[in-house]
Amino acid sequence: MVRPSQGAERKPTALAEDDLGRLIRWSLEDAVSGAEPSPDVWPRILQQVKQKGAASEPGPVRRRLLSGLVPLMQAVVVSSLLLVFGLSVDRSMLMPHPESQALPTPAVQVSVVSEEESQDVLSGCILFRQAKEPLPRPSTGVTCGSREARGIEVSSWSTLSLDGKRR
Amino acid sequence: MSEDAELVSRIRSGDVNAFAALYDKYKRQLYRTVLGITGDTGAAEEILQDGFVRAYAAMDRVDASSSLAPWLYRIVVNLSYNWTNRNRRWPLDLDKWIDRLVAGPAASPEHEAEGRELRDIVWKAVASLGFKQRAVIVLFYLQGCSLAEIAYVLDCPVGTVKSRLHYANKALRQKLREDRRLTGEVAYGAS
Repeated sequence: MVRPSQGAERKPTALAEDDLGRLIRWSLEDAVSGAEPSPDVWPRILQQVKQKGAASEPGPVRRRLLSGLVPLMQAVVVSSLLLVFGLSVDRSMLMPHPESQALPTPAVQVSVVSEEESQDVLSGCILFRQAKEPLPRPSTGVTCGSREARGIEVSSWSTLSLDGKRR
Repeated sequence: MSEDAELVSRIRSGDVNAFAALYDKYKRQLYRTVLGITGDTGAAEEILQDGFVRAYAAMDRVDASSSLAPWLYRIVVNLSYNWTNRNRRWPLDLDKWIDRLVAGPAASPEHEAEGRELRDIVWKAVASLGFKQRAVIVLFYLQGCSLAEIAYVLDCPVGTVKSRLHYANKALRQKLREDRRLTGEVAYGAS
């Protein structure tokens, strides 16, 4: 419920605000209603606009140079972009991240050798060793053949027969 | 296509006459707005000139589907703000203005004197406001801009415009109340 005193307070305020608005509007409009810019303003604007337009437009030589350079610059820019893109793809797609990189498993080489082959190898080794080692001298002290024959070197001993003659 | 859109289209194609037509269309309201904000006729002409040069340079980017007035207001109000920051004074030569503008041939000497005194009071009260409140007052009362248009011109929310208008009115009322020459509901209505 609105008290009568509140309504009585509001009405003059609203009216006064309208009066204030009207007073401001009237004062401002009346003060500037006949104001106009001087005729010199437009020629100055036009002059500045033409100067700026002339400064921003390139001359014929510059224009020709620019028109020749534009495709070259475009090609350089595009190729460098492609290069950068390609490098980034290489690094990001082909090279795994360090945390997800799988370390190579060390290779263990196992050679399978059959039993027959091992026997062959073993017998080959034995034969080789026997061929290199000298045969032992007979320890019986049996004199065989003449003095000259006794002086025969050991290496040729096996070639002598019991009768002392070379075979 | 609106008149402004047609003018913009012609200006973009290099038609200087279209730019002259645009200047003739908006020069008065822009000049009076700047004058109301700065209170300096020389500054108003300088800002008008600079504003149109800038508008021409930005003609390629403007949205010409609606009226150009808010956009042009925005340019000149920004320039007025810069000018006010540089000068920080209100060099309004009120007597010279009123002598030149107010006195009509039909006005009686008494009426003319009353009018001069009233305008003097209001102008001084407006001049005492800060730039932002003064700009809102000029755009709202002198140019009849809507709150949304003022918000666009000043680049702030509509609520801020409302608030500035409210406090500007309050400050003006206070100023007018302090002036002993003005009495009645206008000065004392808010108390």
